[in-house]
Amino acid sequence: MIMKPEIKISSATLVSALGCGIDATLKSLLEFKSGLKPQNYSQVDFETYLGEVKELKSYQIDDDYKKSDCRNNRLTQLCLNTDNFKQKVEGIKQKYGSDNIPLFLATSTSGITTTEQAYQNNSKNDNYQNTHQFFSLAKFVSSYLNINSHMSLISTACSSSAKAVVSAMEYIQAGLSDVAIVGVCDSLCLTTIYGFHSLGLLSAQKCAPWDENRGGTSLGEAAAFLILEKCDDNDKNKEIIKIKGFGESVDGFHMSTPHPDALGAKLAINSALDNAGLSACDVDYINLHGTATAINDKTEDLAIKNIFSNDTMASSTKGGSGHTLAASGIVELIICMLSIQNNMAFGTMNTTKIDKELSANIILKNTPAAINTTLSNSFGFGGNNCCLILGSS
Amino acid sequence: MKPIKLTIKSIGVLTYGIDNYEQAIKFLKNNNNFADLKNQDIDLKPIENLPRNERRRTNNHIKIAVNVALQHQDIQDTQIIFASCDGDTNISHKLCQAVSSSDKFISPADFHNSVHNAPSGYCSIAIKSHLPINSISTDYNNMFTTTLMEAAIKVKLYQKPILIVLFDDNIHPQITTSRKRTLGAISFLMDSNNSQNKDNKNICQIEINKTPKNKDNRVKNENIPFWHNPAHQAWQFLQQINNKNQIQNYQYLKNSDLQIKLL
Repeated sequence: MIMKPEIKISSATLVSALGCGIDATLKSLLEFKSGLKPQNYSQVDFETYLGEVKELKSYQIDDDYKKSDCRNNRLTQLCLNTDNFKQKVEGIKQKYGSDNIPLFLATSTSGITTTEQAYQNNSKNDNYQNTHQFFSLAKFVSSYLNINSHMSLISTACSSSAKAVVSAMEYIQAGLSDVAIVGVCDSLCLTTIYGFHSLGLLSAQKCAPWDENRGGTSLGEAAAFLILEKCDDNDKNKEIIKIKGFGESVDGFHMSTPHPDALGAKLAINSALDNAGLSACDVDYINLHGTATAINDKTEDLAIKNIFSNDTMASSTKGGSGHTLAASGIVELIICMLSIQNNMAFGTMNTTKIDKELSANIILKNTPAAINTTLSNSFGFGGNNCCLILGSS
Repeated sequence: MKPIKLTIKSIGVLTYGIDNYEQAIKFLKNNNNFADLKNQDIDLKPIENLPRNERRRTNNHIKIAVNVALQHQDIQDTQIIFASCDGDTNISHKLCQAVSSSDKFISPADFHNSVHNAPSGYCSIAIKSHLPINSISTDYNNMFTTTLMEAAIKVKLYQKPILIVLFDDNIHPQITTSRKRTLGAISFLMDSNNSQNKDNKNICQIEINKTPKNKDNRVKNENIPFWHNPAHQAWQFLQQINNKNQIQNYQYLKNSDLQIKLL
């Protein structure tokens, strides 16, 4: 075994229905303002709420990237130009060189909207390789940021971006680099909207995790990026946010139904705690996967009850952002970072009465508290689970 | 980077006319032409270890990936990385067709099979695994080197075996005709360099390292490009093993190749 270096989040950017940028996201969270709206998505003919990024309506891809034009790459480009992220990337390029910054990206549907639109017009997607193909996101980002290092595109449904963080950490921990960029983009498309509808998993109301009347999830879209760096001596006296540990597992049970005893979820959480060298009592706040479907919340509740005491505060922020699928891992990791930086456990939007059969310590309102360590859960289709632990120095 | 040493414990191969590593090596030894394989059958067995209702839902994309994984022994306690460039474009086609229709009805089974990690999900059910499994997409020309590097990192960190599964499927012609594909898969079970099989049947030991890009130094094979599959890079590695070429360079990054040295 080799000694593992500590890894910090040195920059972050996020665009979702909660807001365009970290400050806007924090404002929505503090004001307890959900980004979910009654759906107005082209051609959707049933009632549900969606977390759309409103800025996308008038946003255009840069002229040099017209072949890559799709909703997913527009959202990606918007995000890279938010929170001064692109400028910060220029900074690390100066420091490390563009050949030494690996990229770990995630998506579940990439730019499939372009193929959907082509089919509606009885034609083909002429730019499949630059839009719909999974790896096209990685090619777009590497070209846009002018980075030429190791690149991988992780796609494990709703755990994708959390697992991209793990891959980046392992790359740094193995000594191959001192820095990595991790990012994700999953944008709304008819395929996921009608796919989740076919499984009976979409709520007609704003999703309300852990609520006794929860009727399913609400879909959202988001892009988010992080710069991860190996901690050095200069970080010793600074307030920095470190990724303390990660845990992964698979259920080995069913493609779209979680293990009834929450076996995979428990394994991933316990593995993250072991990896971080922490006990369950060290965690101050849990950002749940919390999709608000009947079975997912019930299973996750079982895992939380099994591992944590009744004192550990937990919430799902999907009532604000919607379920951003592959993006949820990094989106909620950034929300955990904001929780630590602002000493605030964010409440569970839209939930009014907790399901009596569930027993995790769900906080309904924003709760000021000393938050030093957080856990973020991501559980995806295929029984693919990933948990990340953040902590302040 | 510092060179990373790996032991290749076993190899799985599944494509037209080839059902395992031994047949692949025989094919290479006989200097056969890849173009001839297209006319042969591919043996996509039902995945026996799956419950019947799950087995019924598996398609060719899932079967080829899981069957080539199952050619290795004792993988229940092994991390796995599945790599496919395009995923299941036949399902993408069905879903895009469905959302273009008047009722927009999507089959629930098609939807849950549409995730890129569907093969890994079915594989974990078949082998009753709980260890991490990843599903990635890579560039067409460096699927083998990118996945090998990701696996090498895990071996270096955890000193435990890892299985990589490289596969791709025919692309549905309505999705795109810009890339040809043939159905094919190759898998490698690898471990740290000091690992030994009980019966000492490891295939080879290798050392991998980044090297400056030099197209002239890269492995060349006029046959392999006829095999239209992103896993073709791995065939070049099979050829390196077969020919006992001590050092070969492979396409990897824009400015770097990956060098594989047989130890």
